Amino acid sequence: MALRTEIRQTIDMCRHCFMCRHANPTFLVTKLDAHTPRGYALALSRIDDGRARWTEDVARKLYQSTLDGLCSELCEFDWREDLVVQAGREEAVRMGMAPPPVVRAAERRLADGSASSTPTSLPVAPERIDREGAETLFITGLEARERAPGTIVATTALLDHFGSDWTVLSTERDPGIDLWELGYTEAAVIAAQRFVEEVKQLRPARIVTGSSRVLRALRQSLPAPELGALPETEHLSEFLVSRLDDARDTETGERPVAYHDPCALGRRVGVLDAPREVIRKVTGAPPVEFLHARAIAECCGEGGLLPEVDPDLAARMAVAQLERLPDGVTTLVTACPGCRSQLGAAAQQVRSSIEVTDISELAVARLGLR
Amino acid sequence: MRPTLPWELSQDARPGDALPSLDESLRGLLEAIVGPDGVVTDATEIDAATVDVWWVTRYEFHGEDRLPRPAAITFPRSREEVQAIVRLCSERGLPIVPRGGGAGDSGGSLALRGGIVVDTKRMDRILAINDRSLTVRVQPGILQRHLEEALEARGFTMNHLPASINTSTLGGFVSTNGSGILSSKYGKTGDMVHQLEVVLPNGDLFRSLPVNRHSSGPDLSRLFIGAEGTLGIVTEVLCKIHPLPEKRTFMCYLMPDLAQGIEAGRRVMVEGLQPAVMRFYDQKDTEHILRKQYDLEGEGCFFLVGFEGRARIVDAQSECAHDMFRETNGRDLGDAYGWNWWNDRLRSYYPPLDYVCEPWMTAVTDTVAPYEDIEMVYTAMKSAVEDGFRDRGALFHAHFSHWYDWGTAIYPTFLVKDVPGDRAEALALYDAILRAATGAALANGGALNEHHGIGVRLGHLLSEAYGEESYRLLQTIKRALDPKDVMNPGKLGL
Repeated sequence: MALRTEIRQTIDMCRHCFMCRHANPTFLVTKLDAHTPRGYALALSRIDDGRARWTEDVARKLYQSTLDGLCSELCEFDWREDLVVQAGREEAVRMGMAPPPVVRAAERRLADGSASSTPTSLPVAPERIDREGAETLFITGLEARERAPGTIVATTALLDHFGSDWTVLSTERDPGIDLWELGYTEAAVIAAQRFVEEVKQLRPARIVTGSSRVLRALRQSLPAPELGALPETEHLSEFLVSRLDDARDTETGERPVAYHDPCALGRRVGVLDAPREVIRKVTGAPPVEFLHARAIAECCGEGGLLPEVDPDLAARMAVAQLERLPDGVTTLVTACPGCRSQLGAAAQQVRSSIEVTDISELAVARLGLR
Repeated sequence: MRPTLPWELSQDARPGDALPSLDESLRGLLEAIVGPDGVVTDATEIDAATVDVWWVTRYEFHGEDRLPRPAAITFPRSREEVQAIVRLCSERGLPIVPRGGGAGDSGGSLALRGGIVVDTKRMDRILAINDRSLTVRVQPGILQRHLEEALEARGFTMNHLPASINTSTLGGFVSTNGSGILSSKYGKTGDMVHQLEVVLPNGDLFRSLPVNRHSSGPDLSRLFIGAEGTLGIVTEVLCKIHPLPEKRTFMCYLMPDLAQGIEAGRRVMVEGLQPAVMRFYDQKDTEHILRKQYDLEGEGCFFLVGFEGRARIVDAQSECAHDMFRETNGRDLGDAYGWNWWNDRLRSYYPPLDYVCEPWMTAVTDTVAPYEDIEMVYTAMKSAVEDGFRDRGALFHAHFSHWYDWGTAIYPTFLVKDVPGDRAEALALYDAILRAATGAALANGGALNEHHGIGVRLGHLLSEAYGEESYRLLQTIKRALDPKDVMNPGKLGL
C-alpha cells in the first residue's frame, strides 16, 4: 500500500494514542476501539508495513466512520485522522475491497450523479426549473431531494418571501464530495468538473444552499479547484440572517429550541453563528445548546454518507444524539436536510415527542408563510 | 503459574499465528447472553484491544508479534450478563480478562492465556446522583471524562482528573487504584469509593457495605481495589463527589534544590493545608520548564502548588503555604505557569509530545515512599538508570506529583532512544532498566508502583515487594476466590 507521506505521518502519530476516543461518535455508539482513529491507524499501519492484508473487516470499519472531523478538532496537534480514513477508503476502492453498499452508492453517483436509484420529483413549480440567467441558484443537495423534500418547499417559500429571483437544477448531481468521501477520488474530480459546467450553464450570480455538504464542497473547493470558480455560495442561514427582523411575538417561553450543528456546516466550514442568530430572530431567544456544541458538536450519523453505507449504525448515532438533548427541550432545529432526516427518523423510531425541524421549516412556520 | 519475564507472554505463539478461534457452540452461548453484536471476533478489534500503552505490547505488535490474543471480546450491558459470562467461562475453565479502557501501561488486560475478554465499556450508565450525601452510583465502563462532564453539568465533580481522563474507565481506575492530579487533596480512587459491587470468579455477586468507614469487620471492598481484575469484575461503584470549587489558585516557586523542595512540600502536607495540586520537578524537568515558560536559565527545582474550594479557606491556605515556601528559600515565580499548566495539562499526552508516537524505549516507574526515604529513593533510581545504563544513553527525569501527609510519590520516566535492533536484546534491556529502577525504589523504602498498576509489567516483582511469606496471603486469597485461576490469570504475579 503506497500511502502519502503526510498520511503515514498521521498514522504513526495516532496509532497508539487514545486521547480522542472519548469523543469519537462511532465509538460512542459501538464502543469498539477499531472505530477510533487509533484503531484505523493501527489497522492501516499493519497493512502498509506488509504485516497484514486487506480484509472485509478492515474495509467495513473504515466506512463506518462519519468523517466528521471531531477527533481532529479536539486533538491538541490537529492530526487529521479523517484524512487517514479517507486515504484508507481510496486504497480500499483501488483494491476492490469497498463494501457492497459503498459500491452501490458510488455507482448511482457515477451513473447519473444522483443519489437515488429512482428519480424523485422536485417539489418546485416547473417555471422555476433550469432558468438561465436567474440571479440565484438554489442548490438543494441530493439528501434534500431524497430524504427531506420539505426543506426544499420551505426554502423556496423563503426565497419567494424575500423577493429572490431564483432557480433550481432539474437534475442535480453530486458536486464530487460524495464520491470523494467514498474513496472514488478520481471520479470525484470528474464529477465536480461536470457539476461546475452544469451550474455555469445557468449563469447564476450567486448560489444559496441548505445542504451543508454542498456548502463545504463549494467553499472548500472539495474535491476539485474548479468548484472554487463558481459564484459566491451562501448557506440558507446566512441568506436569512441579514433579511430577518427580530421576532415581535415570542413563543419560546415554554418551548425551548435546541440547535444541532451539522458537522460539515459548523466544524468544517465554520458557519456556527448564522443558524443560531436565525433561531434567535424567529423565536425571540437563542437556542439551548448541547453540552458539546459548535465546533465540537457530535455527529448525528449523517456524515460520511453513513445512512447509505450503514443505515443501522447511522440510526443508532442519531438516537444517541437525541439522547444528549438538554432536559426540557421540545424542538430540535438543524440546518442541513441530511441531519434533519436523520434526527427526524430517530425521533420517530424512539417515539420521542421532540419535534425535529430544519432551519428553513422553522423560519417558514414562524413567519407564517404557506 | 506466573510468567517469569514480561515478554514470555506466550510460549507457543509464533509470528503470524492466526487468531485463536471461537468454537461455534461457545459463540452461540455467549451470544445468547449478550446478543450477537455483543460478541466480537473481528481481527481489527482484537488487535486494537491487544495493544495498550505499555512499550512492550507496542514493540511486540510491530515486531515479531508474539502477543497472545483472546478468542473473543464480549460486551455485557448489565451485572447479570457479566455473571452469566463468568459462570459460563468458569465452568469451562476458560480465562476471563476484564477490560475497561485498555489504556494501561502494564499489560493489565492482555489475554495471556487467551480466553474471553469482558469489556465493560457498554456498561456506562450513571445510575444515581445523591445531592445530599454527595455520592454518585455508576457503572464501571464509563469513561472518566463522560462522568466528570455529567457531574459538572449538575455542579459536582468527582475530582479524579488523571491524564487518562479521556482514555480510561472508572472501573479501570478502581482496579488499579489510580491517582489523579488532585489526589493530594481528594485521594486516590480507592479513597473515593464508598461501595463496590463485584462479580466473583464463580459468578456470585459481592456487594460491599454501603459505607466505607465502619467497624463491621474488615472492609472487603478493599480486596478488589488495586486487584486489577484478578479477584473479580467490578460491576457498580458508589463514589464520593464534591461541589465545584468556588475558587482555585496556583503558586509557583523555584526551590534551591531537591531537598528544600521536598521539605517545603512535606510541611504543606503534614501541617494539613490540604493543597489540591502539588507538582515538584527535578532539575532536568525544571530546566525545560524555566526555558519554555519563563525564558529563564538557572539552577533549582520548580514547584507548583494549587488550592481550591471555598474562597476564604483557599486564601488562608495559600497564605500559609506561601510562608512555608518562603521559609524554605523558594523564589516566588507567580501563578502564570500554574494556570498555563492547568489549562493545557493534557497537551503533553498527545503526539508528538507523547512518546507513544516514537519507537523509543520508555517506561514510567512511579513509586511512593515516606518523607524520610523519598529523597534517597529518587537518588537511587536516578543513579540506577543513568549510571547503570550510561552506555545506552538512558535518560531519567522525574517530578513529584501525588503528595500525602506521610510521604510523596515520584513520577520518573526512563527513556532510551537508541533501541537495540535485536528483539531479545531490546526486551532484555527494557527488563534490566525496569528491574534496576524498581529495585532501587524497593531497596530504599519505596513501593513497587504508585498509581498505574503492575499488571504483567511489574506483577512478577510483587512477591519481592511483599516478601514470599506476606505475598502468600494474596496467593491464598486468590486460590480461595478463584480456584480454577480463570480471572485475569497471570497478572500481579499470580
